[in-house]
Amino acid sequence: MTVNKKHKRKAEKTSWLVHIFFILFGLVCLIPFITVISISLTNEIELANNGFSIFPGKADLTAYRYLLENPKIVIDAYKITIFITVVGTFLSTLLVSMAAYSLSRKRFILRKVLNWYLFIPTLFGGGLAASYVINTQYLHLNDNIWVLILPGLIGVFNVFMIRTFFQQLPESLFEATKMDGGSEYTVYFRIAMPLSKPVLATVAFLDALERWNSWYNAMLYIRNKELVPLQYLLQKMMREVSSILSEMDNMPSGIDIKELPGENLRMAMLVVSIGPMMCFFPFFQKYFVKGMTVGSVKG
Amino acid sequence: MKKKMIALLMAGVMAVGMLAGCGSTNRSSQSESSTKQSSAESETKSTVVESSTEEVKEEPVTVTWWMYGGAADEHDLVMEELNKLLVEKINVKLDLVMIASSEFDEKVRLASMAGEDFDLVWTSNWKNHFDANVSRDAFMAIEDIVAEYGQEMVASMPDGLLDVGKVDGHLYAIPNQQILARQLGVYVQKEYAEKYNLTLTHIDDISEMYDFFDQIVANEPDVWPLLGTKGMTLSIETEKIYESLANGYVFIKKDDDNLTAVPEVIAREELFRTQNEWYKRGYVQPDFATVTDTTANAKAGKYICHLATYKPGGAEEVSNQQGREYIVIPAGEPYLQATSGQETMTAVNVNSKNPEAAVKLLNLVYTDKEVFNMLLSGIEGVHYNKIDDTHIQTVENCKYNYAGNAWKFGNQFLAYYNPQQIDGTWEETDKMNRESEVSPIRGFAFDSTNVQAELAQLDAVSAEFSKGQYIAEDIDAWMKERADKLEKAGLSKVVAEVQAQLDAWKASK
Repeated sequence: MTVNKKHKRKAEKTSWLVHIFFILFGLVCLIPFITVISISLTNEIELANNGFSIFPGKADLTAYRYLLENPKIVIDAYKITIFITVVGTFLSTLLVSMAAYSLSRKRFILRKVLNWYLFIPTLFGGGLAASYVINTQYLHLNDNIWVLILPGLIGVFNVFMIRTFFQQLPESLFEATKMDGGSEYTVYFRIAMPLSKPVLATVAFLDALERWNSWYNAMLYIRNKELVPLQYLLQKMMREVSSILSEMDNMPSGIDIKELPGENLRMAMLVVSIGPMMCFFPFFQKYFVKGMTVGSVKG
Repeated sequence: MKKKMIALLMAGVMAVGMLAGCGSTNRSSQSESSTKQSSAESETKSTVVESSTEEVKEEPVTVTWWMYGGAADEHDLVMEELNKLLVEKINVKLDLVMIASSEFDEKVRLASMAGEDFDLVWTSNWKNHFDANVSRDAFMAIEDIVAEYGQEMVASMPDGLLDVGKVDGHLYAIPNQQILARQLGVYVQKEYAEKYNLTLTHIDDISEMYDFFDQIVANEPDVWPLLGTKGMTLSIETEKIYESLANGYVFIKKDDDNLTAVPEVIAREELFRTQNEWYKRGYVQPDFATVTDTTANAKAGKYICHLATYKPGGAEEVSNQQGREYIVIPAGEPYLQATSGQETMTAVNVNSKNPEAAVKLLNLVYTDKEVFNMLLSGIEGVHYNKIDDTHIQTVENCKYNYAGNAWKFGNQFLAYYNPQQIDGTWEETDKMNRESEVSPIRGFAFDSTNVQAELAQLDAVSAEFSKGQYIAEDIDAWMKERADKLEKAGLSKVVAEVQAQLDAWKASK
């Protein structure tokens, strides 16, 4: 919207091109969502006969009724996802910024060593098997909600990003605090952190998004049905269908297609799981984007 | 002001979410620990009771069994009940882990690389691949343990079945018993078969059904006579003459005692021509080449016929699965392939701490009707009701039913019949297994180690041409192009490798 207004003021002649472009772009983004909602509201048999359409011919709530017959699964999954996103993001941002702060202090003796220590693993990964062994056999984290939070809690890239930001802060500020009797913690919490809001917001936002969308660790480590996060629930359903379909010819016993969720049910599941996030996201985004840009202009 | 409000709102939402999250985990961990406690209590109780009656009885060993499939809602309840029975019979407990089909391979591979000590694991030649597992030493050689604890299950198998679980003379897996002999069949919706007076009871060639297909094309505009096959593993044309090896890239003729390896481009020529003809005659849906998910159409009953493997009771099973009546027309003759039986097996993990108990348990599940059926159908009166000695009816809204998994757990022939199944199906299947024509290379298993790279490339080329035979204008040109690309990907090297192994196998006989 703001973009369009600006264009109007600047050059009235080109504005209609811009309008058309953004209207088309908006439609391209919007149509798949509407189709998903429409599919979820269509009867399965009708779907097979008439194919997909943007507007459902006759609203049919079977899929939702089926889903909400057992809402506990979805609600549980929501709780888990919210928990790991909130706690994970909070812990991650705190630890990452603490590490970054230490590494940004020139007086820190181990600075160079730790920099390399953090840098090298970004070039060479240890592989899946190694982390699996560590998580299951040494830390005994399998089937534990912390396995969705602790591994990867410190993103090295984020550490470096925040470190660079800290390094740009005027050293004199820190010295002044010290002279007034503040400890390193005071400098970190009272000076460095408040001044770094933009970068912290960026890191936290990206981290939260990643956590909200993550499912792979849950697939590897979670067996307890009550600990399944939302995205894994979705992935599992979708992957299960495609896996069963691809093995159809091999299955000695044939497949029970009644057991496969129909297209409408799958889409209803999608709506239920991404719907609330889609409502919240614009607010989040607005908040964060503003925070970031305002911050950067000031800084 | 507005911004602040939103921020406040967000903070509120986050706080609530946090509380909710915490609450749920606390609850679940509490309930977990309480169940643990209670199970520990019951364990001690049971051991107390046992020790008073029987002084030498040891603490029961728990056998972990990894199986693929969806977990039932009342899984834990049935396991508890089943374990009472198992402890009483062989003093072993079962921890059955159901893993979703899409994750099974990945999870098993990781866990076994990490050295986890689960005991039994399901394996086959098409999922959680037996060969791959054996070649990286993931399975334990169990011939001695089976000789001691598994005599009964071995005795119940038809001749030669156990051999498919052997590699280099060592036994690595116990094949389950289900339909072994392979025969294809055309499953036809009964409604249409009756309407157009389809009376065939056996075919040798799919062209015998073309009259029926033509009638459908002419009179039923909303449906298609035939669901095309996605892969190339279901082919009446090829299987009439050939048996496949090396992921279907090399074949041998069924009646060829010289064991000459034939490349797939020759063996499948007939199949491609036939499928091309289906498309041109309008037997398959026009967009078949690009369709990825046919289940919606299948549910709507839009395919009158489809190809699948034939077995006794197959029509009833398919009718039940698809929710409409089907008849089946068997094609060709039943045939026992070189590795028939590898489709479903149970292996012992090399890191298992209790291989003896694991084999003992498998032996019991394999031979004990009571244990096997409780594992499949749950508790009598809760999950099913008995009609008579061999028939059961599951209750409505049943929360435990693994009957669809019967072919993955030992001996399917022990299963109770449900009302949709036909009496005598198991006996008939067993008879078919024992009486069908046997492959000249029965027991030969191709070792793909030397041609892994070629096979991967062949897969890539094959995928590129997948379903192209349906829509090709000029099928000869299409086949030639495909053959050239397969040749470049190393087809002849794979053929030569198979031939070398066949010759060595023949010499060793």
